[in-house]
Amino acid sequence: MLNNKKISITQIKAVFVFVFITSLLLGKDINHASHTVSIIIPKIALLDIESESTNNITLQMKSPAESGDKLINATDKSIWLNVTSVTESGNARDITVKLDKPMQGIDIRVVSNFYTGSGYGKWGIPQPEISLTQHDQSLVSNLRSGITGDGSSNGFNLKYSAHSIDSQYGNINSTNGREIIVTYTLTH
Amino acid sequence: MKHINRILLAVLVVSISTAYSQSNTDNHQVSIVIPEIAMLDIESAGSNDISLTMVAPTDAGETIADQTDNSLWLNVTSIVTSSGTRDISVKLDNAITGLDLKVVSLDYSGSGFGSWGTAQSEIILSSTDQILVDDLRSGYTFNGAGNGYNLTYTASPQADADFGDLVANTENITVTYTLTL
Repeated sequence: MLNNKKISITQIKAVFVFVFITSLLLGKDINHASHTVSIIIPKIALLDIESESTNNITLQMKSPAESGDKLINATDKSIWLNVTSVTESGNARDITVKLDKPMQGIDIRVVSNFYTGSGYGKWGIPQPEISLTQHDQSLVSNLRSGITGDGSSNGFNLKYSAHSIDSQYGNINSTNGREIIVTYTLTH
Repeated sequence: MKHINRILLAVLVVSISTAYSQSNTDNHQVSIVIPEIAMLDIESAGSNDISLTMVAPTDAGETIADQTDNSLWLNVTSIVTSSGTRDISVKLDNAITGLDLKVVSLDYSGSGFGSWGTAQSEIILSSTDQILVDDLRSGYTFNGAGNGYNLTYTASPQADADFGDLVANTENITVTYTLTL
């Protein structure tokens, strides 16, 4: 019985020594482990138009007070652009703008303020005021990743204005509402 | 059960497509409103009230010489409808027996822009509107004398029996210009 006990303790010691030596041979710490975590961040380019009420705006030009003077320009500052953007390394984006059909004798212009709102990011630089055409032009350049925050008062506040064009003044016609579609794109 | 699964699948597809309907582009409608405008006024470097003082001839037997004035200008701001054109018409309130009051406009000159129409031949003014300039469309003359339509008035004794009714007097005549709608 005593012999059996001695053998048993010896066996336990042998197992312990075996495990210790094996772990040393394999070069592993038994209280640590590691694995790979892959973070996948998608490239994102989302843009929408926001305002306090409707996104459809009216630029109402008015008669001058004095005969001989030209039509009075109309302006609107109610529209905002919201953006969520994640760019690839080294890449930057623009917000571009165009209209569907120009209006004879009327210059429709737009300019963006610098970013304001509750978001975060790298917002690029608004460009000088643009006279809209059917071709995309850069409204804001060099955006990178960012979120503007949702809704009006977040993002890029736009100022629209309508001006008569002197060289085409003779072709201007009165209208109760000529509809023009303006399209904004956050470039990829 | 299969039927219910299909409905759930359809709802799921619609939900996903709605969730991903946002994109990198958006558009909106901008309406431009331009009023129809017909504005006209009379301008000069001094007063708009002019005097044509007839002078006796130097030699008995001759008629009274014509008198002229070209100090007045018409300023106009006009926006027409897509099919519209306009005239400038002119009339007076009371004619003077034995004397013609005539007016003619030069073609447009000045700092403005537009489609200015054609100045017509000299008019003998009457109490009925006559066309001074026709076929105007949209334009603005710019404001003040030196811009728009320069007018030349001529007072001319009539060369007929009505000369016999001419009396020495100061007659105040009101001449009215209208940009037609």
